[in-house]
Amino acid sequence: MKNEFTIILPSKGRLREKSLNIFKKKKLKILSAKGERDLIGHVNLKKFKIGARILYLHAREAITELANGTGDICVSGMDLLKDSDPNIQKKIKVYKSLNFGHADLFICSPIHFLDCQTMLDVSEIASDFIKNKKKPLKIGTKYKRLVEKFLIEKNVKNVEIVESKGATEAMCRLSQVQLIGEIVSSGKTLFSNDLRPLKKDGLILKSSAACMVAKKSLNKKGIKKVLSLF
Amino acid sequence: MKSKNFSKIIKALNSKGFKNIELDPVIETKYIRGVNLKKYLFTFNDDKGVSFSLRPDLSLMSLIQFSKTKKYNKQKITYSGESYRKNKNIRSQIGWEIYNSNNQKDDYEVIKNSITVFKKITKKKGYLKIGNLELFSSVLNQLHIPSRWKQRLMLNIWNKKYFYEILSRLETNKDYDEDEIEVDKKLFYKMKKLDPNQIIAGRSIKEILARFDLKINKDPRTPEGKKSAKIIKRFLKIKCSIEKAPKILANFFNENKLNIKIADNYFPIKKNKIKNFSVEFCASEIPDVQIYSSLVFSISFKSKKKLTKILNGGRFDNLSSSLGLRPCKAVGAAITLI
Repeated sequence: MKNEFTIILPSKGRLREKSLNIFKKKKLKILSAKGERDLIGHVNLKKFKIGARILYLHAREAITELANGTGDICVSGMDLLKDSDPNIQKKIKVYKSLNFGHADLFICSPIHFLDCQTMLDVSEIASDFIKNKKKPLKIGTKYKRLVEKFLIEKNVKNVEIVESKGATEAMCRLSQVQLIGEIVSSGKTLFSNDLRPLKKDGLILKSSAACMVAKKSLNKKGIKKVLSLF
Repeated sequence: MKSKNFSKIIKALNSKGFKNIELDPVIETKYIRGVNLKKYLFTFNDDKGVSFSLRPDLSLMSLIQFSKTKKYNKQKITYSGESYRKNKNIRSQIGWEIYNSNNQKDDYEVIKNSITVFKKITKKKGYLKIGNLELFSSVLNQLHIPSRWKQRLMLNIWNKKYFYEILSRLETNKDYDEDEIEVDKKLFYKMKKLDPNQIIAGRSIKEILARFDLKINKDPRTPEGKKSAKIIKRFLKIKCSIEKAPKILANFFNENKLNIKIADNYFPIKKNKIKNFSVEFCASEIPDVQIYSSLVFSISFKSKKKLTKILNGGRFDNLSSSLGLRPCKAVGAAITLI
């Protein structure tokens, strides 16, 4: 089949489920030679006379690989796109925001930090921290770029960002950091870990899943037909 | 630096006793202050993980370099070169500073030389705007608002957008989350029963409770937030010729019952006798670089009916000590060559 496209989908979690639903609703079957755990599949878009390869990757990796040219289209989170390197971002176009994966990126503090409710408090606590403890206030996050930019905008100085690879919510309880910058959807995980978002002015980004397309692939014949699936 | 005016300016400054110095191309990132500089830095780490940036501004560089020397007498220096910011790429700058300056006459000398430099570049009419951060700080100190609000406003005056956001919060008295405050009060009493030295996420219960108590009880919100915000906004709108400024400010302070004495050093130029120059006092004259402590000024010219600012200056007496360097009072200015 001519014009083979590569569509990258999230490899796990709710984003994977909801992305697969898009195909189910269109009655398109994704075939995987090695069963459910196969990271490569195929979907036959007969009516468009197009073949599409499905690649399952981690949502953050999906964006990198889209920019690298491994894929033509991907489903991933807007938060992850905005946090990626500017050189990656400029190679990607957001085709459509999808109605799932809604989450907000917030600065969150332990519930016991009663005095910390706004970013102005964060700024003052950070300044007390450096004055009294001679070390910067630490903020743990998986979203280093976005958090860093946000802190600069809010004129928060004397802060060190600690990159987290997972379980960011546990960092405060382990006293590794004082605050975290984390995605909040229902808020249950935060609550279970004695954390709360700074609702007043700690919102960094409102995010949802999105269908993204590599700018290079926009000239490929048939791309519009494939995009119309989303 | 290719500008035709470059050698003319350096020559003029040298003839006024300013000695040339060379500046380092990189600066340790920790020394850089202010959102408007930080946003646009070219940053990298050395092999020990220390963050450095290409110099985004030459004045800051010269101060850091000078503070590391052992010169304790008055020094007049000039420097030139490129500064690097992501939004403007490479900008050519020339600066002139007076270090270890305790004398208010130095303010006048720097402004006078700024006018000379401007005149070397263009024959267009110049617009000199003079402001003073000390005056703004005095206004804040006279207002009946919690001290943390005064500090917040002073710290963020450099970032206009955020400053006005904070001001509107002061207006509406929004300092903490009303939905959470009742829950927090309950938790406050629970935490009071715990060991005050117990650490939660790197902070002791004692310090958390002390700050909470300060916010809620000792230095709480005041009903005067709206009134104070209005006074601040009106103050920042004051703009008049330099001759009229003392009178207009005195009237403003009387009207708002602010006990502020108008010091002589707020106006290094008292009368506008400079040919082809308009000299204004402008309370909102605040550059985007967070380095100044009292006097601030800028010179602009009109281009396509709009004022284009090409020269900024001011006094920065507290900067070196705030950066952890030896205290060094200074006044200076810099021009960006187009």
